[in-house]
Amino acid sequence: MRLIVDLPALGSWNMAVDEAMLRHATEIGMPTLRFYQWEEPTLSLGYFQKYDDRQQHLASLECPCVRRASGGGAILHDHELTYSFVAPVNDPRSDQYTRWFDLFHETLVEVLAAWGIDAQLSGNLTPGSPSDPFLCFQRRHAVDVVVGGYKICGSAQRRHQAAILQHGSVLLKQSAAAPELPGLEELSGQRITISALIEAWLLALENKFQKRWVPKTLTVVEENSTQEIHSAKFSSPSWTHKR
Amino acid sequence: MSTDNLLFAKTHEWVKVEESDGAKIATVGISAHAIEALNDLVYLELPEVGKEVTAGESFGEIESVKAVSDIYAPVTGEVIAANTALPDNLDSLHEDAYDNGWIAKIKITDDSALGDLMDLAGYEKMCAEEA
Repeated sequence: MRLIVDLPALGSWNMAVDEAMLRHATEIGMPTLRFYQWEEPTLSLGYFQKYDDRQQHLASLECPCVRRASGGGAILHDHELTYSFVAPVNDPRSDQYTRWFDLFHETLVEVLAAWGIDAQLSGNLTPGSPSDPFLCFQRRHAVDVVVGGYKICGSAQRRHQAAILQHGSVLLKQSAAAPELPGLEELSGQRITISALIEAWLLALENKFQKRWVPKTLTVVEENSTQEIHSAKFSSPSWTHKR
Repeated sequence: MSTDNLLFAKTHEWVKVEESDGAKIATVGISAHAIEALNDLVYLELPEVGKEVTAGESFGEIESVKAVSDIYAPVTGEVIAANTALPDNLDSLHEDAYDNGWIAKIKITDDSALGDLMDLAGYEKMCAEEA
């Protein structure tokens, strides 16, 4: 399976890379896992959220905003590790909607447990609703990872005809642009570095998948596609303000 | 609505084709099998009336359990009606994916894609193989 670890980038660029991976998943022919970060604190809206709803979250009003292609609530990306995962729909694990959520979140729980942090899946069975809180990390779905009642990891998907994209965020530390959300550092008293989390999570995922991750970069076709998608979609106000 | 006379796309849309004033009109929705797999439904974006759609291309979107999925046009033509009551009653799709669960009506301008659709038996076989 392909592994890509990227340097911090603009939010619009990060979203374009994820979509390029999704569009070219069939040519790649194997699942891709990408870890990335954000160049500056950035608010990402879930695909169906209204742009004007960001007005209700005052702490992040000065932050740049992008619209994701995936569902769920808004996320303030700051002190976090973000992942994206692309898999073909003909993988039997793609058929059940929550299976990929489970695989990533259960392994994260294992990693945190090894560090003495009592994380668990939320198990909350309340159905999703348009009246859910604005911020993803204030919503609860059964597969979310929580510590001490606070959500520290959530994921969302975009499903295309041939492949699915899942991306998710692990909240490492509270952000001044979302002070109501404690991160792992506040909840556990431990400072977890990005590199330590990537290393441990990859190992747990390899054990779960029974396959090795091979470090790679985007193909030339994906790079070119990223440029096009970035210009035409994620850096365009018509996309960000489409609702 | 009986499902016996419906056609199904491999992307899980159902189609009922009827003749009206010499034109073929396709009523389109999402199959009960797909609705069950989608589970909690939160948002539905309908196609705009008047929009020209092409078979196999996205013409609507639905969000469920934090997953956004495309809805693909099973035929080529012009959208002549959209079920505007549906986005506010998505839970009803779990009880009635066919009669009141229709998404759009499309006036078919090129019926060549109809040959790519499956009957109920073929669709059920595909779903069983995917499971």
